[in-house]
Amino acid sequence: MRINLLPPDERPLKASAIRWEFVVGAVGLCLLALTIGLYFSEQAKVKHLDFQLDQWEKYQPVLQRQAQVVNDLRVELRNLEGQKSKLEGLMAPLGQVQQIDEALALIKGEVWAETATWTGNRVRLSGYAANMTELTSFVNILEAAGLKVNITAARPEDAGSFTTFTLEIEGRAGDELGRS
Amino acid sequence: MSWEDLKEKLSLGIIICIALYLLAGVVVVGFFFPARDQVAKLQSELDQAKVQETMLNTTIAQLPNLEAQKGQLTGSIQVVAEQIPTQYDLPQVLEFLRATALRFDVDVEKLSHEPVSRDGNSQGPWVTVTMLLLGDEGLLSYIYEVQRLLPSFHVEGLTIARAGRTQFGAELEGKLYLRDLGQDLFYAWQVPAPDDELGPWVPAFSRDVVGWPAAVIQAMANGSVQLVGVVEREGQRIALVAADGQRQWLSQGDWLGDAQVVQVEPKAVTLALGTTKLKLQMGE
Repeated sequence: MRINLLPPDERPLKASAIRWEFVVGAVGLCLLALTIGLYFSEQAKVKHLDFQLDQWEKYQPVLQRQAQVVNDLRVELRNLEGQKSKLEGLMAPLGQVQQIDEALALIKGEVWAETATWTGNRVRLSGYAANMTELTSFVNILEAAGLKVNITAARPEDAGSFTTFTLEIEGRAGDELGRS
Repeated sequence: MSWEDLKEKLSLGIIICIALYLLAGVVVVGFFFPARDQVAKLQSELDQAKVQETMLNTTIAQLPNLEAQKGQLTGSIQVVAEQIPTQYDLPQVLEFLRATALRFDVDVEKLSHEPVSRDGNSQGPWVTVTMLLLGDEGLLSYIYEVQRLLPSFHVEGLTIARAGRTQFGAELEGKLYLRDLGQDLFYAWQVPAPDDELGPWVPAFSRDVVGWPAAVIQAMANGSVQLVGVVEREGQRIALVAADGQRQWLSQGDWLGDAQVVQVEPKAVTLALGTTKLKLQMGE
């Protein structure tokens, strides 16, 4: 029988005993390795992102130049639109001769136009009729056609042998002269 | 526990362990966290860059469409601009007005224009054009054609009246707006060509409804033309009519100036000025 006379603190550890210092040291080493690994991983990300941003820095001016071309084109289009509308503003409405023609084409019976004048969007018709009844019929025809008639003068001439008149005729309500 | 006790327990292994943990802490705090922050910052910048790239690409993608729009717009500006003369085209414009009148058998009695005018509110310079025209049914067609082919000609006043047995006279006043000598200077005004397929616009009114001036008819009715007598020879009546101091024999169908004899009765003769009929009685 062998008796260990060494105090328990100084006795050598058993082979199966857990060496806590070693475990803690190993964990610390692993932790250090892990943190260093994570650091390098983040550094790799930084490098990758830096590279991407660097590429973007180089690519961005190219895109911006192209976008500037588009913006310049937009400005140019606005100027062209203005130029076009200015030119179109010079175009005249049509319809003056048609208005005169329409008024004259409605003359029936013993009514004659002496002058037909278009001015200020209305037709002034001066003429004469065999009598007041003929003139009234003509005015009725004009109004039935949707024209607004204003009799500015109507006077029997030469002992009633005929009646001279002046009418102002405006187009139908809502009619606008337009370039067809 | 005193420092001495602690010193006794600090073995090399423990010191190395502590150093390892401290080093790990330093790596985390001093390197890993800043690197992670930098990654987050760079990622954020990259995200912004991607958004910006998307926006720029969206803008750039509009380029073909905008170029097509520009092409269309330039084309339509050219079409409009070529219809509007500049002040340097005025001689050709006047020539065009005369040449078009020939196509419609219209005589241009007078064609004049005032100097180029401009005011602050107007969209362009203009010249006031005045025309005195003589023609038959083609007169209104001519004016319409001028308006159609010279679209910047604004008719401001138009008067038509009978000017003879078969003719009408027209007085036309309008403003011809001119193209400013600006950006569209390189488009030359094209002398308009008639559209043969479209054909001229034809007025609907009957020319008989435009009568002779009332003063002419009134003068005839008031004795400027008198029936002196009627004789019958070989079954045909002939009227002796005095007009402006001159006497002449007239039978049915003859002309007295612009008036046509439509009927001769034993004591009356009927004259027609267009569709206006005037009966002259003997002794009036």
